[in-house]
Amino acid sequence: MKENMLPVGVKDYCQQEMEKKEYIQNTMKNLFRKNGYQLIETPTFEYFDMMQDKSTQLYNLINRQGEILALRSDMTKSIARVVSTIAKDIPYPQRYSYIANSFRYPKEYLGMLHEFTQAGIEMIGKDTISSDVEVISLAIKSFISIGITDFTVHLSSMELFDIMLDSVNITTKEKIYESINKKDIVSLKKQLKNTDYLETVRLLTEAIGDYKLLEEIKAKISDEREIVVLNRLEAIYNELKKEGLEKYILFDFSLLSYGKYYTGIYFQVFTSNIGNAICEGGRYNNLLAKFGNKKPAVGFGVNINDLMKKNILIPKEKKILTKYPNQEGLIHLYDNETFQELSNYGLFYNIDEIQFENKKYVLKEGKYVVCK
Amino acid sequence: MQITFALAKGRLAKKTLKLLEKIGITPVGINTDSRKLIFFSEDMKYRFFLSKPVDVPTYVDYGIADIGIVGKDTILEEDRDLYECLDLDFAKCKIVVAGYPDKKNFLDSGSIIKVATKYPNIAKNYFLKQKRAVEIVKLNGSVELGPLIGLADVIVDIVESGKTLKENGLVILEEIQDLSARVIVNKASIKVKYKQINKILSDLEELL
Repeated sequence: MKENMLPVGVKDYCQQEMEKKEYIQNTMKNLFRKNGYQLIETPTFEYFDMMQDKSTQLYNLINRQGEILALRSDMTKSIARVVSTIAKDIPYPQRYSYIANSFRYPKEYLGMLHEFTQAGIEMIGKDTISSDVEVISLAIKSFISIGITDFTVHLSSMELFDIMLDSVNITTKEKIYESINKKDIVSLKKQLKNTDYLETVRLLTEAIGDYKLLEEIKAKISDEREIVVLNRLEAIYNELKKEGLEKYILFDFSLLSYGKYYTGIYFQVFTSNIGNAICEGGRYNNLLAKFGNKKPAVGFGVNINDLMKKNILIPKEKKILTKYPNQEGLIHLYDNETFQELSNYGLFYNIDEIQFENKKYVLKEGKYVVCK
Repeated sequence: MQITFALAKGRLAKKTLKLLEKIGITPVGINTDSRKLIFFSEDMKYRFFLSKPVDVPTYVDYGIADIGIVGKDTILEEDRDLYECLDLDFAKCKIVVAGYPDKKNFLDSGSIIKVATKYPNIAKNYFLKQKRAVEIVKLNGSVELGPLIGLADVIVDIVESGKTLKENGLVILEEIQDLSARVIVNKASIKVKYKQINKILSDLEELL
């Protein structure tokens, strides 16, 4: 029966799985808010033209007026639209956070979700080292806040590559970015053979490393503009070091995201047992101009569905149970008030029964609670 | 961190193991003719398994294998999300459009071309790029039969020496792509295990 089935690409979350998802989402939501990023909600569907981009296949729909709409594929564009319309004249920088589901068709047969949840932030209106640092720092803290520490932030800059390929004609540049997007390093090397920048590009595409890598690259680069970019990355690193967060940073110039809107720093976060980036972010100074409000912006999004694969310990409120020590049979005498308190920490099956810490407690004669 | 290799059973695995041995990576007890599928290096730093060539990209995509060595034809056909890092320069051949010589003009005529192939994705993408309408007939072997018995106008298939084509009166009409054995890497492994993987890649590259 079709009624019992789910379409491809979506899933239900309930019971313990939902508890885990909610914990992750709430923890991040609170962290962002504490840091001054106010929650924002935008519509689930927008005009197709507004959402369209080269690298994503959208879920389209046609409304009854015959207009082509699309389910949003990310929140960044929607927030850019809001900041360029109803929030245009609010003082900058503006800081927004969101927990929202987005939609897109991934490549077929790959078992990926079509509907996915992201938690993220955007800071709009500032183009400074301190704003880059603020955003990267918050990305790192969002993982630490749910107890994950085995991750690395792979940091690079879209500017570096752009500058290096400045003198290359558009068609060749398109092909180069296509190879990078397809992660076809073999084609990339063939395309750059006999050019001036093969060595530097090779160095970059194979370069992942810590702080020392920056020095190595600086030594091999002569273009002033490139040195400026590297210096900015160095300054960001040093600021993060002051917060003790530098140990999570790796410089990774092999990263590039073609077809997306990043113009400055770009980072992806990887963790040991998950096959794709659990977080992606960076600076995108050209996006808001498309909405008629030329402002720099920087932000990131965390992939909640992927995070669900990690082992995450949800701290449970233990205080009620420690107040009432466990005894065989009769547990304790509860009055109505205590009963209400207990119900906040457990799941109700019906008003006579409570589940807490995998045990079921039964209200007996309205007074006693017995462990089943 | 242990590095897992996915090897394509057959000639590819044999040649790959020779190369890996040269850079000091040797599985214990591996014998590509036996039925055993999983092996380890003596120091347990490396794990190897043999699989059907078409499945190597799948294992690498899911991260079951960090590194895979397989032909470019398989990589193109399976079209998985992974890094292609090195051309090992062996198992060289081409994938081409082939058929009877008189079909050369038919290809440009604008009519729908019936193509028999083991590689529907490669064929489809090739003709799509040139905005040519095609009907793809997937066959699993002896694809040369297609035009011979009238099933298809042309075929898209791999050519090494060209002997099979010649013996059947077929010629190469268009060349699609050069092929060879490539090294593919899982896109998270290349970041998380970057030191070890970069060393393996640069060691292999030195041999070329």
